[in-house]
Amino acid sequence: MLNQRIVLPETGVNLVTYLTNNDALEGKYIAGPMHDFDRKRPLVLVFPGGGYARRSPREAEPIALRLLAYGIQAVIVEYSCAPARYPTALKEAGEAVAYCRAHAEEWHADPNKIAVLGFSAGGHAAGSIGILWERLEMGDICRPDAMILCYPVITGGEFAHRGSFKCLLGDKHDEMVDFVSLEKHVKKNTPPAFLWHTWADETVPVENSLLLACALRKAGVDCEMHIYQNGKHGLSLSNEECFPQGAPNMRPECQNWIDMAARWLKELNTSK
Amino acid sequence: MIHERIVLPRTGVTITTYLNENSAVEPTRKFPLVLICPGGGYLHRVPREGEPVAQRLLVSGIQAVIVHYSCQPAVWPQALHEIGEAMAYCRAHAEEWHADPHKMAIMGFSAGGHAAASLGTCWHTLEEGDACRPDAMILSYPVITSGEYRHHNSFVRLLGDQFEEKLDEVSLEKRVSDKTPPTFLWHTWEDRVVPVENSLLFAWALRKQGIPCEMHIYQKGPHGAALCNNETHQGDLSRVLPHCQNWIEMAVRWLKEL
Repeated sequence: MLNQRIVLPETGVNLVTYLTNNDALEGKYIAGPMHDFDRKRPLVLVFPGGGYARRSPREAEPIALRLLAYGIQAVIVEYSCAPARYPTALKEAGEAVAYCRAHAEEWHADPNKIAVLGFSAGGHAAGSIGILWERLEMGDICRPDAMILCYPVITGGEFAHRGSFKCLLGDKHDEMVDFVSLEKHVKKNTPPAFLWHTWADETVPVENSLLLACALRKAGVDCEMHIYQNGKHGLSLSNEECFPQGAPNMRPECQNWIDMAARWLKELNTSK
Repeated sequence: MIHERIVLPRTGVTITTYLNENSAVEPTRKFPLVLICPGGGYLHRVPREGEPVAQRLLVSGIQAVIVHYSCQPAVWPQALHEIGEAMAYCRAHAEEWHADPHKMAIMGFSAGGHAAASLGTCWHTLEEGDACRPDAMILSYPVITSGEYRHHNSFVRLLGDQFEEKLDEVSLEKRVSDKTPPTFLWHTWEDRVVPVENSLLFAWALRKQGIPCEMHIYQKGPHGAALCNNETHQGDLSRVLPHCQNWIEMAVRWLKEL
């Protein structure tokens, strides 16, 4: 496994990689039909949540480790939170996607299957690079091929998680909020999305995912969406890896989203 | 197992029961009961959305009853009245059938989803009153709206020569009220027969009324896949969808925990 911390040159954002290293197999085993040293895996950049005020650890390493076990390369993006403002996190995310794509060969990753995965406000950060990538004027090297958004912050309108937008925009909240309300900027070239949420979420209302799904539908972009009835905000994997004290937040029925997301990503046709 | 065909007295609708006979194992157990409306565009009722689903529910610890509601040339609200009578009949027989009278759900597929959701949204207009109220709805790729995203032929057959006059009345996203029970929906994004907007519109309507809902939308898969396995492909292997097979497990879990 290649587990490294990398500081990117332009924005200074930190990445933490969790990469299966095909080369490590060589020499230890006799090559045969079971061994594919050229295997290209999907790669997922993980954006933990935390209301753009911090990044939650239970939405970081446990996710990367779980993705690795599905044969998916994982990179945690330590994007900037308040007092940094828009577009700092967007620029960092753009550099991170482009960097991962540029290193796809070295990292045994498929350069046409570079996805972003974000939780809550991290879902807004991941969704921003998915939906607003053209604003960076870097070309499609920074366009993710897919988005996996978990109880995401999407809208700055009636159903907003206001705290996230205040941290993201500071004094410019009122003038900028529509500009970063993601459901308003979906286009045909927005990548396919996998969304999940709980109906009972009282922090980031499920309307955030419903509004995004409707916008994707209108733009003709593919989507999968799973909404569980019960469960609070911020479940992450909803298991002992994320709630070591067995918090009452855990909902066993919400544990299968990551199986479904991994299956969806692997089966997605993103070849160019 | 209690497996019978019963003709109901008022509307003459036939129901088929698939009931766990638990008297020997756990005499006091009360199972949830699901009344199943197979789909078929209000033209007929397709077999793959009937018995295989009932059998699957049965092994999941849920009593199942198929309702053979009327299709074309019968028109609205004939099927609604039949399904209402069927629900009230099941509830009246809850004790005899080892069923929990407070956990009686209605399940429907495609146009059968419209029939099921008709009861869920309009039960209070029927003479049975509370006796025919479903405690929950499970709607699989349902026909809901008669607006822009309608499955046209379902409404043509349902309404006959009252098409223009009654079209709005049967657009069920407009009939959701505080009397509508919690709902489990599933659909595929790619459904080319009944667009996913049908489920999305219903979910929005439930949300506005504050009614609990669970909804699973898979990206891939054609319309009408039922259990999405070898029991229900009916000769069309494009209906075998491993990634969609968990909907029934999630629906069963949801109903039991409700």
